[in-house]
Amino acid sequence: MIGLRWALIGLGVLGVIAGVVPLVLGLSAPEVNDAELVTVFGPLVGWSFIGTGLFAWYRRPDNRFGALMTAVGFTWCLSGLTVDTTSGVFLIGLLFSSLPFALLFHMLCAFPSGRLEGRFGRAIVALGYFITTVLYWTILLFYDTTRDEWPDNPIQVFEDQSAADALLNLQSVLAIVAILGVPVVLWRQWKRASPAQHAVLAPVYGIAAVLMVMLVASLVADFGVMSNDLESAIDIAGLICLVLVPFAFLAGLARNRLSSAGAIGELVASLSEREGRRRSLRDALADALGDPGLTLAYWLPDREHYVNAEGEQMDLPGPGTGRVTTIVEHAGEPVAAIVYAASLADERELVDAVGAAATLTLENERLDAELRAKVAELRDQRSRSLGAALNERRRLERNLHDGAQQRLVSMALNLRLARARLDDPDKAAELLESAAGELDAAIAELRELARGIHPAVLSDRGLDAALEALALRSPVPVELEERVGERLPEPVELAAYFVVAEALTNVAKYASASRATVRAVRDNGHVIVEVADDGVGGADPSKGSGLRGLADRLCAVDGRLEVEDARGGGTLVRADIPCG
Amino acid sequence: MRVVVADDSVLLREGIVRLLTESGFDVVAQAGDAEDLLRKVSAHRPDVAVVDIRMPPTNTDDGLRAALEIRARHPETSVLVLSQYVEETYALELVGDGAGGVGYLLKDRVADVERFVDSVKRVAEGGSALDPEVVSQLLGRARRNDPLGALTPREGEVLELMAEGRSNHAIAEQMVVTERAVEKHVTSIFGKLDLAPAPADHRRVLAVLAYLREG
Repeated sequence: MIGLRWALIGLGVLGVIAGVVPLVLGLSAPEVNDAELVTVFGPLVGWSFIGTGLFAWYRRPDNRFGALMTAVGFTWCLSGLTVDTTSGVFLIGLLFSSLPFALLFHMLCAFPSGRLEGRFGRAIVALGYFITTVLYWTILLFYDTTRDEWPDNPIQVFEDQSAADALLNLQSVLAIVAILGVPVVLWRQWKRASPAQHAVLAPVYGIAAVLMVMLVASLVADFGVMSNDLESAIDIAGLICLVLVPFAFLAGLARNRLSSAGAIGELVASLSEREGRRRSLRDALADALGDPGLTLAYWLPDREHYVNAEGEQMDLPGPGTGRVTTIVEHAGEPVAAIVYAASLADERELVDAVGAAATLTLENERLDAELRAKVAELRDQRSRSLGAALNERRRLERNLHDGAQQRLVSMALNLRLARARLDDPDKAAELLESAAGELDAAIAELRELARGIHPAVLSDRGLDAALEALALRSPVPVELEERVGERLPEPVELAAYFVVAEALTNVAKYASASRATVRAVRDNGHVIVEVADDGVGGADPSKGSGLRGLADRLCAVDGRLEVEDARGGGTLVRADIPCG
Repeated sequence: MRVVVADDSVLLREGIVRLLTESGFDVVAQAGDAEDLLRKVSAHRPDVAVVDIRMPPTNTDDGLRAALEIRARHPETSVLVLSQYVEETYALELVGDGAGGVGYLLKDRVADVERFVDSVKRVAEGGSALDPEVVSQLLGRARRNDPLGALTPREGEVLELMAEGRSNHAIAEQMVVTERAVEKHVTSIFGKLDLAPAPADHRRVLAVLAYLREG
C-alpha cells in the first residue's frame, strides 16, 4: 500500500509535468493548427483525468478504473505534442493523438467496476483500440499532415492521397460504429445496475451521452458537410464535455458515499424497529443495497456448511454465476454470507458496512436457521425411524403369516383328520406325528422370531454378552476384540446389537469371508461398534435393504452408519451412537 | 426322586408337575419366582430342581442365577434349567467347571415326555443334559476344525449325543447299536481328538465341551 502510494505520488508529479508540456508548447507555437485548443484543453483534460484517476486508483487499488482514467489523461497530454514542430516530438504526439479515445471508451464501458462485462462490450472496446492504433498508424503511412496545417509527417512513406482518404473514411465509419456501440454497452449496464448504482452511474452516463453526440457530430463534420465555425464549436463543446467526465465521476462517487451513509442509517433504523413491525432482515438488506434478489446464507459451525433461512443446506455461488458473496464475521467466526448481484461488487465497502451494521441481527437469525435445520433433521429422522419401524412390523407380520400361522393351520387340519381316523390307529398315529412335527417347527420359528424382535440375552446381560452370543451363533468365526464393559441405555444397546447382528448376517451371506472381528467401545459419550471381515468387500448401503434399514433404525437413536471397504479387503461396518 | 419345580407361568408349571408326578417323581414344592425357589430348595433339599430361566423379580435370567446359587450352596441338589431360547453362553456358564448335576434344555423339549423324563433323571443322578441345539451350534462352529472332519458320520453322531450328556447305554439305545459298539466309537473319538479318556459320563461331557468351546 505504501509502495502504491509513492508510485501514485510519482505519477502525480509526472502528470503535472505532462500537463505543462502542451501548455508551454501551445503557447510557443501559436501558428500550428488548433494550438489554442491544445493550449487550453490539453492541460485541463490531462490534469482532470490524471488527478481524478489517481484518486480513484488510490481509493480502490484493485479496480482498474482509476488506472484507465489516468492513462486517458497521460495519452491526452502526449497527443498535445502535435503542436511542436520538432519532428520527433511531433511524431510522438501524432502517434498518440487518437489513443485517448479508445481508452476513454474502455473506461466508460468498464465503469464503475473496472471490468468489461459481456462479449459485446469487449468487442466495442477492442474495435476502439484497433481504430486508434493499427488502423490509425497505417493511415499515418499515407497521410500528408501538412494538409491540416501541421508539420511534415515524418513516417509518411506513400504519396497516394486517394488511398489515405479511403482509409480515413473507413476510420470514420468504424469510429461511428464504435461510438454508437458505447451507449448500447452503457444501456445494458444501466439495466443491470441496482437503484443505488443508478445514482452513481447517472452523472457519468449523462455526460458520456453528450460526449458521444459531440464525437459523432465531429466525425460527420470531417466529411465536410458543415461550416468551419460549426465544426469548431462542436469540437469545443466536445472538449468541454471531456473535461467534465472526471468531475461527473467524482459526483457519482460522492453520491455513492451519501447514499451509503443513508442506506446504513435506514438499515439500522429498520432493524431497531419493534418486533412485529420489523421487516425481515433480508428485505431490509435488499433495500439497503438496492438488490431485490439478495439472499442470506447462515453459517452452521458444527456442520461446517451454510443454510438458508429455512435451514436447508445451500452452497455459496462460485465465480461466473453473476452473484458474489460477502462473509459477515463476528469475533473471528463467520456468522452469515450476503449473496448479491455481481454488479454490486464495486460497492464492497457498502456491503461490508451494511453487514457490520446487521451483524447482531444476523447472528440472531443464524441461531434461528440453525434451529430450523435441527428441526428439519429431526423431522427427517423421525420419519425415517417410523419408516423403519413400519417395515419391521410388516416383516414380522409376513413371517408370522407365512411361518407359524401356516404350520398351526396345518396342524389343526392333521388333528381333525386324526380324530376322524381313530378307527385306524396306524393312520391316526401318523397324522398325530405329523401334527407334532408342525408344532415343533412352529415353536422353533416363534422362538427365532422373538429373538429377532428382542434378544433375551441383551436385556438380561447387556451388550457384551449379547455380542458374544451373536459371535457364537455366527457360521463365520468371529472374534470379539473389544467390549464396552458396562451396561448402556437399552435403546443404545439394542441399536448396537442389531448393527452387529445385521452385519454378521451379511458377512455370512455375501462376504465369502473366512473370519470377522467385532469391536464395541465407548468413546467420549459415544458408542462405536465395528464389524470387519476379510471377505470380498463391495457392500453398498444404498443397495441392500438390510443396511439401509439399519441406517434408518439408527436414526431413532441419533446414530450414524458408515460402510466402507476395509484395509486389506473386506468390509467395515461402523455405527456411531451417542449415549449420554 | 424328589423334585422342586419353579416357573412363573402357572399353566406350564402345573403341566410339568403333572408330567413328573405321572412319571413317578415326587414333586415336593413349587415356586413362582427365584427367591421362592431358593427358599424351597433350602427347606426341602430335593434331588433336582427344574427351573425356568425367566422368572420374577426382574424377569430376565433370574432362574439361571438361582440355579448357579443352588449348585454352589447345595451341591447335592442338581438343577435342570429350561429356557425359551438357546443361549450357548448360558449353557456354558451353567456347566462351568463341572458338567455334573446340571442341565440346560429348551422349554419345548418338555413335549417329548420320554426324553424329558430321562433328562431329569440323568441330571438328578449327577449327570448332565445339554440341549441338542446347543450342541449342534457348538459343533457347527467347531466343524471348521480339522480333527472333527476326521470323524466318521457315526462317530459324529456319538459325539453329539455324548455332548448332550447321554450315557453309553442311552446312546446305544438311540442309535440302535450295542453298548460295546458305542464304547468303540467313543475310544476312537477320544483318540482322534487327542483327548484323555474319561470314564464318568459328566467328565467326558466336560472334555468334549471344552474341546468344542476352543474351536
